[in-house]
Amino acid sequence: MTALTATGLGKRYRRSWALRDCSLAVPAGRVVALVGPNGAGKTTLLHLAVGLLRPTTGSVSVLGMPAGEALSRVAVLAQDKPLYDGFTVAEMLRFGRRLNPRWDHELAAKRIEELKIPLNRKVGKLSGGQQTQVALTVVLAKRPELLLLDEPLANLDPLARHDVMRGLMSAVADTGMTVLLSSHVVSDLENTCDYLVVLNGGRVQVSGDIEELLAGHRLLTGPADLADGVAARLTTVDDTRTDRQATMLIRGEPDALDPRWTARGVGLEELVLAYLRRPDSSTLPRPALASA
Amino acid sequence: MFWLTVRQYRMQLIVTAAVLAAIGVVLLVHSITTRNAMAGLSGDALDQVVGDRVALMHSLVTWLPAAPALVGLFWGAPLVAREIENGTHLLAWTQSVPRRRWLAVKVAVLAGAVTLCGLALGAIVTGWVGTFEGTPFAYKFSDYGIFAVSGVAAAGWWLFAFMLGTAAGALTRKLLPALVVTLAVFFVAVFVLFQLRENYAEPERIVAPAAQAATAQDADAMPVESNWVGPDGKEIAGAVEGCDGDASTYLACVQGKGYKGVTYVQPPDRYWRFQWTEAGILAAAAVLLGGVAYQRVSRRAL
Repeated sequence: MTALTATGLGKRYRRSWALRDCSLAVPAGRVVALVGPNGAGKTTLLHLAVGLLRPTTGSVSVLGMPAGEALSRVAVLAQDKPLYDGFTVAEMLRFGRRLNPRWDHELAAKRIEELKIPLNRKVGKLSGGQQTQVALTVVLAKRPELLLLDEPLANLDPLARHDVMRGLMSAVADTGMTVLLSSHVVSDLENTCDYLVVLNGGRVQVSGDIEELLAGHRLLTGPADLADGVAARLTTVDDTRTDRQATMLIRGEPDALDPRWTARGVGLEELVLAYLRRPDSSTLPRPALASA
Repeated sequence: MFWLTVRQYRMQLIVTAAVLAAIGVVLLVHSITTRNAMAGLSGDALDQVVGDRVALMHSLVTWLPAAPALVGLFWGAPLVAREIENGTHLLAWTQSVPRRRWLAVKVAVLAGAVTLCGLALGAIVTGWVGTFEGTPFAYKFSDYGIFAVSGVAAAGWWLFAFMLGTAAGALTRKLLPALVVTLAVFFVAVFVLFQLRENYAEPERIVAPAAQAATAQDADAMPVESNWVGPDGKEIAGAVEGCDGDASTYLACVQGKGYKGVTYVQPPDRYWRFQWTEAGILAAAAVLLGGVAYQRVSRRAL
């Protein structure tokens, strides 16, 4: 079963496409990193998935239902962590309880207590980290099967980032829900995510299991004068050269190489950066719709 | 949803109730003291006293027809616009309650509250005007403003203004433009409907001798048109040819030529019929505006 399926999904704002020809299947039970530079279409994709936006082209379904119809089974934490500033923390939880039939009040109350956030404090008076925690509590207590988080760690200090991530991961371990987590900072997502989707310029560039992706790529380093020959034989994702040295990210295992070349494994951040530098490279089949 | 609506509109509910209570107390006290002052008086002495007493409340009552504008600004406009402006629509519309129901419950609860408040104001003003029954100051029908804030028309105006604000907020999605649109459209609506009111029914035609033409109708009748009608039965709108001079010589001249005054008026016993007509027009407009808001919130891609 897939938690989120997009088919030829596109969204155009007045003049430009925020998301274009996006086809994607996110398997259930994964913690998915949705990575891309600012303006890559991450937020647009998440808003389309919960029906806040209507697609210009194509379609998107979540948990086997058209977007917007599975509202009680999907939770989304928007980028600015919207909360009602004039509400107290207790009222914010009451809001969640009144609007969600599957609301887990025990979970919410326990989380807030563990975080030592005063229930009678106005939300607007909390620190940024506490506000994020309250917003996260509201989405977690909804008991969603799919949780969408839009840049949940933005504007948080390192300690708060750690706390938020830890809270999230323990909730995932408890419930087995699918999480789709967007970020433009890859290091936030290492060690927590097991599936990667790279969105760039409104298109899906990479989509796959992180372990498989890492195992399927090698970073080659060798003399620049031999690089053309090597590049011709292999599928290169990214190719950076100086006068003397060439560094190439390749897909698959290299065949017998000249001994002056070294091959090593690749880290998540290196992999993502290599793809982002080369928007034409893709782990996916070339899109059939070449003309616009 | 009911709890959320009441929580988010706590301030508006409290302030509106307090203001209504204050107006109620002021007008009630005024009514009681006026009744006491009227006791035992009659004729010119009575008119003199009532006239002075009514003048006391004039500035308050004159402004009451503008009160629905505040309802549009503080109740209607923020409903959708403030959520979108603060980004909290991303929170409100991604809970388990579909957007359409979110809007339907909010509008139903608040429209109900606003209508009740309007009815309360209508009852207060109707009661107050009733004090002057039998004097020339019971202008609840011919006075544009008092008609709009008494009876059921008051509730119509409040409901209309609320839905106008809501629709404006849903269309502009920003609070400030929504406030501007609400105010502008409200005052246009006031202007249009106040002009239109005399056409709610076919007016009554009263023919009277020229000298009595101006006073032939009931003091609280709504004047529509007045003409001269000649011996040949033809009506003329302007001055009678061949007559001029000051008022009394002119009238004598007109009468001498066989002209009579003809006035078209809405008699004051049509008060309730007109009240329901105005309330009906406003309620219909409110329903239309509700449809606009519903359409914008449920269909429109944000």
